[in-house]
Amino acid sequence: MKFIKIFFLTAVLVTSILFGFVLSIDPYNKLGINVFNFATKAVDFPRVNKFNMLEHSKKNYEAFIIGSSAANRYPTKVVKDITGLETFNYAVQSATPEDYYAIFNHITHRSHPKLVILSFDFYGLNKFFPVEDMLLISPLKKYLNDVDFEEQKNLGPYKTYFTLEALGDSYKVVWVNLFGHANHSFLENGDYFKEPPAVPPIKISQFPYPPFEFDSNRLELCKKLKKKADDLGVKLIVFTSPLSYEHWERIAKNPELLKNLEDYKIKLANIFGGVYDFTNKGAKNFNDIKYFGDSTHPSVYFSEMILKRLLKPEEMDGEFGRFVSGGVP
Amino acid sequence: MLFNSFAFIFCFLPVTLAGFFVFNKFDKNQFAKCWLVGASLFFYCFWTLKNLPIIMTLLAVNYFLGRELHSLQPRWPKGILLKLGLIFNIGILCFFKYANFFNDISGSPFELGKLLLPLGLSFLVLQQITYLMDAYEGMSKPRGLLDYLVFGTFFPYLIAGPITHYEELVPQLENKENFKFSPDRFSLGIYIFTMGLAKKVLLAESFASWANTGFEESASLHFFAAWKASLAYTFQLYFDFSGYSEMALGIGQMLNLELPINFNSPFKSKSIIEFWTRWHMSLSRFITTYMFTPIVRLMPSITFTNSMVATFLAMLIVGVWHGAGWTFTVYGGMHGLALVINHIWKKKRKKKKPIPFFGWFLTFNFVNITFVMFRATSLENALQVYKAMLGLNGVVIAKIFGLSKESALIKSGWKLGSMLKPDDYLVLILLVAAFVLILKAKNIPELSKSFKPTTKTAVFCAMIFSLCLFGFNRITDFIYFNF
Repeated sequence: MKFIKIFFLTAVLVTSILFGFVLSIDPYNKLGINVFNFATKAVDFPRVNKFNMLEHSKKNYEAFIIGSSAANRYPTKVVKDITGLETFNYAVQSATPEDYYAIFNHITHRSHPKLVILSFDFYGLNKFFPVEDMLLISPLKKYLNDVDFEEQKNLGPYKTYFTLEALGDSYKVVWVNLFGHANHSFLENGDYFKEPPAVPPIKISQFPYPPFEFDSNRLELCKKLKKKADDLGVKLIVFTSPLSYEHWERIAKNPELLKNLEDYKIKLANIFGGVYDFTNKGAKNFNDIKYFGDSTHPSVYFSEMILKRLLKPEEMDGEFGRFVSGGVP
Repeated sequence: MLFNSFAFIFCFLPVTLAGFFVFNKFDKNQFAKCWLVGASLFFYCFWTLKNLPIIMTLLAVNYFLGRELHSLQPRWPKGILLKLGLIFNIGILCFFKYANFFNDISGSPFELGKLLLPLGLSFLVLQQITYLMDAYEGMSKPRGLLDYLVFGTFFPYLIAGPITHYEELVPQLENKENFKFSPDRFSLGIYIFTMGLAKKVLLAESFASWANTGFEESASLHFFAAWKASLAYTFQLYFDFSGYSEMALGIGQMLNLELPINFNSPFKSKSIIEFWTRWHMSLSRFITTYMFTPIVRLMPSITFTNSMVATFLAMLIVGVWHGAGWTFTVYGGMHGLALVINHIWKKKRKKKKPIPFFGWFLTFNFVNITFVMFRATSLENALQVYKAMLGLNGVVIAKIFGLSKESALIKSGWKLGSMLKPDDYLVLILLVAAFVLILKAKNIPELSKSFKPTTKTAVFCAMIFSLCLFGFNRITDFIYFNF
């Protein structure tokens, strides 16, 4: 009987200690706790990092790049060189239209941008792809006051903090603060830090798509975003985030999903008055790690090419980057 | 309800155990059995209610056939009853498992609709076949409906085995000693259950993501990535299935019931014959007793050649049992062929002892290679992985050990990748840890023998258990739930 008693008591004790440790570290800043007064939370949190960078910047940014992590590598220098506008990259991981809208509200609240370049992801219109938890606990949330959307029920610390991942991340926070040094996650202007070149092959398994269903609330949000941009006189350039050829091919194997992809472009074109399409078989000519780090993240080199295509049309593949002007969805 | 879920560990299991021992404490043994049957049915229905009629029909028919087979004066000849029972059980299994497959490959114009295999049916059918065969051979005693229902629905093995014989379980329910709560056996049960839980949550789930990514990206795998994917799947399958079996064994121990072991350090095997005596042992026993032997008996004479034909056919059937698809058939065929070759080799080289390491190396790699076929979604998918494992898609090596573009390896055609990332180190560490575990660590039968319910063991066990709880968020089904 002694074994059973010790087992249960120790299990309760160890579980409480581990969970208490995670809560006290609060690695994702969900609870706003910093018991040990650490200088940094080692986990990347671009919605907070970039928000704060922009808030504390003395520059008067007039152009912005918005999107998911797929838009991280678009160099702000290229936009500035072409347009002469001081540019900030406000890409955040796993962004959905709720993020685009909140970020747009933030930037228009603090300055008067002239240009916003929006890299729109296919998954962003899928009602089964949830709003990122991090948005709802970031300072950007206050820019969503006029948006009615379904908050996930999994925001409690249990769901994300009672996990091995949270335990590992808490350990990382302690390690970085006690034995390492905190690095800046992003460079000036929100640019991405340099990274080693990708290893072939291009990974295609990032997003398990089906089931896919258009989210009518998000479509309405896009319309709202477009109207705000028009009202404020902001030029909004929208393009579909590029997908590698293998990735596109995988979607194309599923006729229903392919139809959704085509409808997605037409819907965007109808809302935004046209969209540049980088999500098609034209990617075949750029099917190399020179262009893609993996199936959804274009390299810096390719990001530069795409920006030039958007801002200063030049020779590129006829299909890839074509302008879709709309139609019947 | 999975064994490794909060609902099971903190609600279902404690309530079931408490009910069982409380009824037994007041000498209500029949109520305790009813309680077990009720709990097992609740456990099954927690997944889905709609399959319950199928399972209950299967149990009802087998019970009545078994009762007749046990009877001294059956109403029909026993041979006919047995054949009827086999046709009924195999027929149900084939209908749910293979109807769509045969309909597809025959190009039949009939639309069957999507038939979903009821959870646990494959194991239940095999178990019921053992029940009928044992009754026919006079290897089991006739008992009441309640005993049969406990045997037929017992939740620890209901979904994925181990395939347990009637006489292995039911006599234990008649032993009054087993009605009493035993702290020692309960402690052993906790220990075995926790080890199984750790295998599933901490190891199998870690390997699963690498295996899944590899097999999904089979067309673009290179040499090392393909080996990483295949090894990851081999370890995932082993830790997943043996973890499940051990959790079942652990629950059995908590209830004072001994279940047959399913894994006995299979990757220590030095031949494929030995492997099949250590891997999925309850299935191997079934193959030998109820497939190999009857096939041999059907042959005109018992010769070495005939027994090899029987071995091959039995393994082919085992492959097909795993699922409707060419990959499983080829998997069974590969193992059948390997067993035949191993037997011939053994016969021809009677006196010469094989080199242990060579035997182990060959066996492990053969098993690893055949598991690619087992995991692949299609033959094409498997061939893509094989191609990459042979290096036909090229070799990309990370920038380590001072490798540069000028290195001989790179000049010989290998490609230079980027530096190793933290994830790559994790893969390496876990692969090494897995090899150490499968080759050096004691297995459950060994651990059970040497188990002492000391404070140190309890603390160790509790720490592992607590860590496992944190891994419950990334749980997927057990692989063998699909078969």
